Amino acid sequence: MRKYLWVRQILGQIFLIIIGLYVIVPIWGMLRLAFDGSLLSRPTEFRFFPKVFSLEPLFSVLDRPYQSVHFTTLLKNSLVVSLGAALLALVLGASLAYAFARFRFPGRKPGLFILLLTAVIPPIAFATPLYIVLSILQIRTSLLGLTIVYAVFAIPFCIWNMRAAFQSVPRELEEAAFLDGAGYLSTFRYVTLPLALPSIAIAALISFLMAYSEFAIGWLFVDKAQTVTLSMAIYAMVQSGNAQPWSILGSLVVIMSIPVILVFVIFQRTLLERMLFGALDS
Amino acid sequence: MAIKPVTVRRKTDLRRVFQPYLYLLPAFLVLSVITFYPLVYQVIISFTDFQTKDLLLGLNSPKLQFIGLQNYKQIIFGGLPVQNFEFIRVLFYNLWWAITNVMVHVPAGVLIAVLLNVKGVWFKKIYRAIYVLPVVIPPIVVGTVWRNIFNEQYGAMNQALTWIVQLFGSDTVVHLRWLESYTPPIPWLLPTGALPLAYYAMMIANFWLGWPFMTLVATGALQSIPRELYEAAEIDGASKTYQFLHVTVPLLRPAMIPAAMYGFTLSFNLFNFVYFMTGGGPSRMTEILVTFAYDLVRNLRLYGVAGAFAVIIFFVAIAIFLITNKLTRATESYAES
Repeated sequence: MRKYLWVRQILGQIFLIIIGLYVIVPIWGMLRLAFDGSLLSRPTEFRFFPKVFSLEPLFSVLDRPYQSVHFTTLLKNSLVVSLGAALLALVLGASLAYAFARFRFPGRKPGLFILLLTAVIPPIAFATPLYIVLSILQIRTSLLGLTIVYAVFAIPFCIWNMRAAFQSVPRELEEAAFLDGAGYLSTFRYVTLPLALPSIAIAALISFLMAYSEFAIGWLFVDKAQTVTLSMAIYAMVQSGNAQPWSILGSLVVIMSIPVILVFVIFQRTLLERMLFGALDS
Repeated sequence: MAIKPVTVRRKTDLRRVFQPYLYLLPAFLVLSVITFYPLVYQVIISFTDFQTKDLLLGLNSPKLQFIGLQNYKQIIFGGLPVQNFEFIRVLFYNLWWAITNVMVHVPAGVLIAVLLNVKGVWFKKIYRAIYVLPVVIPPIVVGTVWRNIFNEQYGAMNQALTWIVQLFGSDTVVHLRWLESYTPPIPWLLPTGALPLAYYAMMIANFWLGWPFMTLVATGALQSIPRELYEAAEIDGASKTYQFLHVTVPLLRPAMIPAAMYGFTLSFNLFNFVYFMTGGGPSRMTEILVTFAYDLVRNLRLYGVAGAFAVIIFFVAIAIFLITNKLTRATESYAES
């Protein structure tokens, strides 16, 4: 019996390691590109370690990544747009999700149906009228326009995710708070919100990621370099082919991932782990 | 059962009637400007010959002509000034792409979740930290990474295959043109149009992107299965396989069906990834509906046709939504019984 357990452990480990490699090798390959100083254009082979280790590509990205735009501008644009979009999507999505989870009112079913329906319609499908509407509102080329558009794209996911979370908050808890004299807002703030927090964190992360890596719609709307985001810069760089060393592209990609990984590392202990993998075996 | 928040005070009755609408108002205002109004607008555009010159004035443009259903006819029956585009083939490819993705992601996700959930597996925490990476890395980065891997000359995939081939004593250098080759490896697989090598490359890449989410959902569901059920099964003398098939799988189903439906919708409209990997190529063989819609606007600048195409996508989306909704509902009642 003991021997059997050992065999199973080792077989399981081999399987898990293979999957781990499958997950890690692509990322590793990109990291290697970012730190390889020997590249002049495209790489000629896949390697695990750079031929010449150098931080130069990283610094040149920080200096001048895309056309004449400063890196700080790109990063600022990306962060402003994606954080703004995530925040807006959370606020709007949470109020919608809460209303649909907690209240019964005329028009509830059709409203929910329409909202969830918009989730399956790809945003690309209304690019032309969106272009016109944003032009009329005069926010098409601004960061505000991008923020609002990206937020709206993320709202369906937020509702989908948060409605279930709000529903699973026991109604009795809220009622108890009401009886103690708390208003709607403070009940939401002190009872519902903390209990639904893991789901809200996931919704925030996904909304942020959606906006952070969107480039297609933004590319249609933007017409000055000042409002280009990181992902649009990456797209432009890939389009331009081999004009630049690929280490620059690698560096940009690596730098772009850093804020997300950072957020993840910060949240992992508290929220994500609980939501993602459960806390039962720790 | 009609549920109302318990309040003692009477004067808040009126407020309570309007309360839900107050919650809805801000979001609906924004949505009507960014989603609903453009949707209606797009329907009107679809009946016109909208062109670049009309972009400035929109529907007020004096030269705008209503051409009836011509855009729709051109899309469905052919006649667009676009090469290599047949609507039916793209639609079926799109459905096939989404279905095959989900069919691979869900079982793999469940399997890995089950393996990770076994008691006493070493390094659980490390594996979990690694396995969650694909979920948190920005999708555009994922696209770039996998494009590199499938590159014909320096890609890791060809190099790895070469290494494996040479391990078996052959000295050929593998030079598969993963993303550019036209010849389908299995010609008979999809009757409406052959699947190029790029399809398989994208399946491998999207698998990387897709299974961790399914593992997350499955892990959550697994941990909510009461241990007593397994103990009871053990006492009854059920084998591990039997336990998996008759305890784990049925109890995972209510969680996995909605996740699978979500994954299906996601894969069906997977714009960023597909556009970044192949751009729909080679010769529109891996084009899905959304990438073609984008191409119509961005490169071909056929805005009227794009409008009609968007309306068609809309109907396809409704159909998918109704079907997935029905399937999810069916399992919901299954879970309750």
